Formats: sequence, C-alpha cells, structure tokens
Amino acid sequence: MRTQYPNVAADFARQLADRAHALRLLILRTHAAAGQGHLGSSLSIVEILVALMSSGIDTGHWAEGAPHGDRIVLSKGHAALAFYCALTQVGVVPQHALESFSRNGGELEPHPNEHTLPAVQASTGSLGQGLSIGLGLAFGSRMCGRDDSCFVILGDGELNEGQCWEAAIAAAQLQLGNLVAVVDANGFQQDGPMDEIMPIPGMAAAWRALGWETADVDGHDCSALLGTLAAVNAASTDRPKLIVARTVKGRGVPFLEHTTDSHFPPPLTEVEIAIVDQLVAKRSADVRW
Amino acid sequence: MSVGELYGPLLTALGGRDERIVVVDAGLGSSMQTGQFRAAYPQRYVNLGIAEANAVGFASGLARRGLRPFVHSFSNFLARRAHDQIAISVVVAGLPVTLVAGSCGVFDGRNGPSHFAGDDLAAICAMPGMTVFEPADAVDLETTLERARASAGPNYLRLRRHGMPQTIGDSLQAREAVRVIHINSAPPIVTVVAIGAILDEVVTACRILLDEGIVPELVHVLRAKPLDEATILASARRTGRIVAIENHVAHGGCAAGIAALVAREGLRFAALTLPDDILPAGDARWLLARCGLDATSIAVRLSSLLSSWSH
Repeated sequence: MRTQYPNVAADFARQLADRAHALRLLILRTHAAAGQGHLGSSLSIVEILVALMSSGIDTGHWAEGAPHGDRIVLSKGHAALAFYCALTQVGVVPQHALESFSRNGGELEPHPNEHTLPAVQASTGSLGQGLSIGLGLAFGSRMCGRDDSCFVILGDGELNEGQCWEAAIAAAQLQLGNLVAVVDANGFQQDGPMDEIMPIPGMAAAWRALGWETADVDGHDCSALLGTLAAVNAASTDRPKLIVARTVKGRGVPFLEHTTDSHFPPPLTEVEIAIVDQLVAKRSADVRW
Repeated sequence: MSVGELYGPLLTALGGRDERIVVVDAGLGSSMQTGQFRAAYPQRYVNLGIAEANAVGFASGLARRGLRPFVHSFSNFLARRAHDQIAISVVVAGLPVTLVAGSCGVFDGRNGPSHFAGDDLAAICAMPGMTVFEPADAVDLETTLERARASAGPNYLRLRRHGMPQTIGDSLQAREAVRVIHINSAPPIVTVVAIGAILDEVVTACRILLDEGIVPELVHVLRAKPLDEATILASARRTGRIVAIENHVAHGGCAAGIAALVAREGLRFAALTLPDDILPAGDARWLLARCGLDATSIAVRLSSLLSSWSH
C-alpha cells in the first residue's frame, strides 16, 4: 500500500514536474557528452532530488564546506551524474562544470569525491556507507546545539549491504528525528532485478519495526514525495524517517525503463534525446494536477 | 601498570581540554577503558554496539560537523573489518577521525587468530594521508593523544592491551616521531630500531648485548607513518648496520618501510618480525617467545646477525 498524502498546490506541482523534466534532459545530455555513466539509476532518482532540493533544504554553504547546515548524502554514489546535475540546477555548482563529468582528472568523477568537488557532502560509491555518515551528521548537528536535517539517498540494491542495517538500528536508538533516508526502490541492481538476486522484502515494515517512521510512495511524483516528507517530519521529532520511493530504473527513456542494461548504457543520440523530451513532456501533460 | 589504567585518565583529560572530543565505542568499551570518559562527559560518548563499520561512518559524519571523534575497537576489527569504511568514509576526505586500535599483534591477550592482527599496519599505512602512532609507554601515549587531538587529518593509534610502562628511556618530555634512546656512551656498531610497543623487549635485549660487549644505538619509532626518515638514516649511517624489530608481519609494516629506505643507501639491513604464519592462541609473553621477539631471543638473534655480517 502506498502512503496517501494530500498533494501540494497544483501550480507548484507543475513547477516541480517541469524541474524534473529539465533535470532529466540535463542528465541525458551530460551523459551523452561524457559518453558514459550510470544512467539508469540517475534517471530513477530525478524526482527524489527535485523534491529534496525543493523541500526548503539549506544549500547555502555547501560549496564552502561549512560544518553546519542541512545535508544530502548520496549513498548510492553511482548516481552521481544526477546529483551533479541537480547541484547545477540549484546553483551550487556552475553548469559548465558538467563538462568535466567522467573526464580524465575531472572534478566531477563518476562517483562523488568531495576532495575534487567540495559541494559534494560526502564521498561515496562503495555502497552501504552513506547512512552511517548521515547518522554522524545528524547526531553531530544535535551535539553542536542545532537540529540540521540530513537526507540520505539509498538504493534498494544497496540495502544488501549489512552496514545499512547496522546504521538503521543505531539511528532509532539515537532518536535521530533529523535523519531522513530515501530509498530509490527501482527494483534493480547492476546484475539484474532485485527479485532474482537478493530482494529486500518489506523494507518499510522492517525499518518500522526497528523504530523508524516510514512511508511508501510513488518516487516519480514530486508533489507526493514532498507531501510525504512533510508528513513524516510532522509525525515524530525523535524517530528517524524512511521513505521508500517506488521508482523505475531508466525512467523516461522507453527502451531503458525496467532493464538491467540501463545500468551503464551507451549514450543517447540527439534524436533519441529529442524523442525522450517529447515523451516526457506528454507524460507530464497527462498528469492530473 | 596496564595500558587500560593509563589510557582512561589520559583520554578523560584530553576530553577536558577539548570540547570537540567525542568518544565512539563499538561494543568494546570495557576492554578499551573508555568508562572514565563516559562518566565524565556522557553527552560526548556514544556506544554503537558491535558494529565497527557503522562506528567509522558515524565518526566520519561527526568530523564533518567540526567534532573530533575517537573511535575505539581492537586493531583487527578496525583495520580489517572496517577497512573500506576507513578508506572511503574517512581517508578520501582527510577527516580528523582518530582510530584507537587496541590489542595489537602479540599483545592481544590470548584470544587467538580471530583477534590477532599482525597485519594491521600493512592495511592502514597504505592509506594516503593516514598518520600512524604506536606508543611504547605512558609518555608516548600522552604525546600521541595530544597530536591526534590537534591533527587535521586521520590518525591510527596502535595500542597494546596490557603492561605498558610509565616511561622507557631518558625523557619525560613530549616525544618526537622517532627518538634515539641513549643506553651507553661507547661508539655503537649497529642501529637497533624498535617499532612501537615492543620497545621494552628491545631495551632489555640491548642491555644483554651490552653485557656481551656489543654496543647498539637504540632508535624508537613512535610514529610509524609518516616516518622520520632523517633520524633513522642518520643513525644507520653512523653504525653502517641496522635491524628493525616489529610486532607485525614482514610484509607492509614499518620495518618494510625502513628496508626500502636503507636499501637506497646500500646499508646492511635485517628485520625481526612476526612470522608468515597463523599463530596459535597464547598470552603475550608466550607469543613473543614463540615468535623470537622476547628480549632474550632478540638478543640472541641480533648477536647472531652481527656475527654473520662480520664474516
């Protein structure tokens, strides 16, 4: 059962969908220019990133490495392409920096490296590590007399890693109500469908049993994601929050959606990107506001 | 005095000097002797249970908030089980996280192969930007804690579990990365490098050698990385011969680093290290003897080496 929450105002919902559309196209073009990248999982987190970036999160000092403020940790670091594009969309990273994506020695590496790009909140790519870092950020903020939020984007495949569960247990024990984990539940990992490899049944139920506030939503509906964020935050101040976002790997590119091959596909041609542009625009127009 | 009796008060005093210090335990607080800190500063103490990978990642997050986490576990559980977390969550960003790794090598306390880390330096010293300390006495330990507190990057503190002496050698002052310990005024004929906590065995071995008329120059390495190459080389050049002694396997330890250093100079070199073997469980004294690293064995091996080199 998906969690039902009232949508945000219709005009704002339309703005969010437009941002997601623009972000998706920017990802495709950046991927095409680089000639490589983890496209499928970048496309599945587009709406998650738009919702988080539109949730009132303070990105003001990200480029300076200031110790305080809200954070997003991209634990599924292979979706860095989408994260970089989202950072340019909100002005944290200049758009021309995207030209360095996946280039030899470029600052925008295939997996986020805060050493080369300080706007990245934590170096990731070795799966399973981001949630623990998020715990430290959330707990550390409270130790410093603040209550800055920390959002961690996880993959469902990443939940095969035991460290995620160590962190899940600890977050509840530490009562980290300022920690929000969003699982990009696209149902795939590199080698294929989760169901055929190592599924994680009942993610929300399992984490709820550990003491988390949980929700299960359409991960391609920005307004539903935003509404869910607001609802779980309102529900409890001392329980960490888990949002299971049901997504599609390769979302927006018909021949990549729900495929294992979407993980690291060859770049799309300009013609193909133009077709995706029209299809996504039509799909957005079909949404009832 | 056990290292635990020393460590708890020193850690607590450190916490009193710097409010950024946060102690993170991974379910071994009673062994690591963090209880006094916990009692003094409960708001700056977290025990995350038996989950080392999470503890290291958690510390990474704390450091990003301007705090100075000290993560405690045994050397095997940190260097091996949480190796990738140390590498990615801490080292890539160069964060000021201090890993306090107890029960190193033969000083474990008879727990056997599951707890025996004779290879942790190989794993940790290979990490770019990591600073590695192995104190031999209480003065070293206090020096090390302060250096780690003030550090801008990651640190690994390799501690023995039992029996750390108050002081070895001539100085109660803050220690340098490498120091020459004067045990005799006669001209030395060999440089003996004691790496870390094995110093007390090596001091005794050097006194046995002196009784035999062999004068060594004793050099102690407190900071295994980055290595103070100049001090070690200066001594080795004086004596022309150098032996490094280490509670670690030959591959990838500090002795291996010294070997590479002196090879450039064409100096006679040998290393007395742990064997390339899975060792049975036993207490520190038994294991030291088994590995030829107790004072008597070291003296015999050094004497033999010097005889073979003089032929």
